[in-house]
Amino acid sequence: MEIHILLVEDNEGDIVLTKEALSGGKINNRITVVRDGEEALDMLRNQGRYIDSERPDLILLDINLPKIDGIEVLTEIKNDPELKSIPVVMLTTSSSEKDITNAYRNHANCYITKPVDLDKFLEIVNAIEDYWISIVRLPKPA
Amino acid sequence: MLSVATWVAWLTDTLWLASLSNTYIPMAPLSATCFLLITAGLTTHYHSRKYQWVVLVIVALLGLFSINVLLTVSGIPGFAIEDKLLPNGSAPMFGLVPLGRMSPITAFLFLLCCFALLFLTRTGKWSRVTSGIFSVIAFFSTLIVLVGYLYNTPLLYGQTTIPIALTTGIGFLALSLGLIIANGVRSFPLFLFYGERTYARLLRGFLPLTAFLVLSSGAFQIYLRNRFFSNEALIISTVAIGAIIIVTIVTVYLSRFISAQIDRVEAEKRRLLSIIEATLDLVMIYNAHGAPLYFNKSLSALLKLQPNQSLNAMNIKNLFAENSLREFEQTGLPVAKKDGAWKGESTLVVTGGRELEISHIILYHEGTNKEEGYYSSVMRDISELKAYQYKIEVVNKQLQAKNEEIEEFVYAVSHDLSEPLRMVTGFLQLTDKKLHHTLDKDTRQYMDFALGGARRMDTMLKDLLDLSRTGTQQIKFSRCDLNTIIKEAVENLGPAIKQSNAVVTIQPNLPEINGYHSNLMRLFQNLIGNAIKYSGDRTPEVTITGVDSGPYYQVSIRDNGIGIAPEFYHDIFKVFKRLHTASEYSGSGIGLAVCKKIVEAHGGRIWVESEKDKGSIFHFTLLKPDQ
Repeated sequence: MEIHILLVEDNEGDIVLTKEALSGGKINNRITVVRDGEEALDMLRNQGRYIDSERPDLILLDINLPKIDGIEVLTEIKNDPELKSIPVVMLTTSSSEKDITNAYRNHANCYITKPVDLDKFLEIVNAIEDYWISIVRLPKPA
Repeated sequence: MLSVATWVAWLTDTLWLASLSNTYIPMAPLSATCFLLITAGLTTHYHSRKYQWVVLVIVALLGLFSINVLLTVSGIPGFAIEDKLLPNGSAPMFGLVPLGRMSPITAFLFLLCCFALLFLTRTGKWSRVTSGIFSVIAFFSTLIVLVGYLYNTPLLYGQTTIPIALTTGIGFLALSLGLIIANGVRSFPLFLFYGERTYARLLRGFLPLTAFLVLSSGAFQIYLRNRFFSNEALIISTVAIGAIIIVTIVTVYLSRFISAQIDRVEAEKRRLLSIIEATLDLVMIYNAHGAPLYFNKSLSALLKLQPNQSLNAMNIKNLFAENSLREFEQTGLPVAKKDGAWKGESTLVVTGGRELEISHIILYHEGTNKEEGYYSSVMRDISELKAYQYKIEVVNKQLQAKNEEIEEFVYAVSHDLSEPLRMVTGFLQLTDKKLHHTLDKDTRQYMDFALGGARRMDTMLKDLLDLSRTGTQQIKFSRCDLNTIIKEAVENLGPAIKQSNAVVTIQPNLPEINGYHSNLMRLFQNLIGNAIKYSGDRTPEVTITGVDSGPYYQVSIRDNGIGIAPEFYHDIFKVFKRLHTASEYSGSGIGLAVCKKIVEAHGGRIWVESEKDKGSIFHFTLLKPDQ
């Protein structure tokens, strides 16, 4: 079984770390990386460069993105009847109450603050994988 | 008593009982009866309000009798009641006058006393006065009669008709006095003599004395006449000398008394005036229309008045600024008149159009009977005070703005620094992972130091972020129960307490205060946690007590740990300041800074009492709910 994860993240270092963490996991996964909110939406709607892209099974979404920020992307996804069923995990550096509240208010599936420590980060990413893929049942694309 | 005696006398034909002397005509039986009746009436009035009708009946009867007698005397035939009362037989004569008949003077006096008694029973402002008037007339008439007997002038007691008996006169004296007293000390005429007013005191002292002196001088004169009845000149001159002596004594005494009173009052007035003149407060006295009666020295100086300048042309209303004048006229004066005083603030306009803010007290003084009341104002310049108040407000606002700026800054810094820090930490760790086996011992140590530093920086940034957030939440204060909060904190510290076998004692029944629940919980958790952490070798014993302290409630947390030397009492509350290395005790040094911030956000302060190795007590105060 292979799952398709969409990673929306603008920080190169974070991309490397996250990919590194995901590669060590138990399940096969294919990662698509987009570096800003606009690209993310294009990809999800098969527009622009992403005409042939496939629908992801899980979205890891950062908040601090250039152009359109993460909360806006979240809102777009969760208001789109085609896309709203895809689980969105907010994976961000921000620990502010305001951001947390906003995310959940806009129907984020969960919110995780990226820890500084690498080992902890790896643990969390594996836990995400574990939870959302092994434990949780995902809907089949329509 | 007299009446009873008289009746006895008549019945037993021992006339002398009724007349006190053979030369005087005895009291008539009718008079005796009437005396009895009226005494009964007066007593009834005194003792039982219920039997007013009895009094009225008596009054009616007496009135009837008196009028009857008067009529008889003046020749109009009426029914002669008196004849019925007399013992059978003759109407003996006493000199030229029939014995045993009531004198018209007596009748007249009884009539007066009737009316006095009648009005005594009525309630109402004028009845008291009327009763008093009748009693006084009766009294004076009686006096005339008695003076007549004293000076042996039969004319005064009825020589032309049936004379009034001496005993009757004495009886009327008692009766009229009784009626006057019955009227009470508050009404006419006794109110003149009653009380501490100078008028009353003077009357009380001098009226009886003068009356006595005059009467006795008359008596003395008669005595002299009888002794030296030939030497008219001697008599007159003796009397004159006596009069001069008496008048001199009386006048001297009177003058001394009165002038002492006046001097006392004047001295008091001067004393009070000197105080009012000396004060820096502005004092003025004025009437209801605003015409000034008095300005004290300070006020005159402020208004730049000439020393003898007349106040007549001025009106104090011109002193006030427009909106202040409105408040003065519509609120200040009426409230002062109603409650006696008004306190507030006003604005004056002084020379040059300058406005002066003052604290203002208006007093109202009742006038005496004929005069209208007047007002006085005591005013104090508070413009400096107001200027300070304004300055303080401005500075406060600036401080608040500055604080907010700093908080925002701290937040921004700690938030934005975390990203590059993550890069450093993350890739260092990755590198370490990848290259661990290939690195030599030294390089591995360098890596460890680098990573250690990065981790510490992470903790510090997180704590800073936390600290900056602590201040921004005080908007939502609510009622918090300290007992519940401490219980929560202790629960959160469960593992630490269990591990160290710590004993935590909490004073029961701690009060409620206004605050932010989660911050207060953090406060207690930090302090109790510290008490357990810094226990050294001993088993931690933590005691939490609380006590009232004026507008605050003071909580104290005592431990038996390693203690703090006095030179560090202030340092420990500083951000990141530690007294130990990371290897001795963990922690970033921000816990107490957070505690300080929380306590100050609740309006209190925090401090420590401690001795090295003897444990510490952390005290902090929180504002009570109603402050």
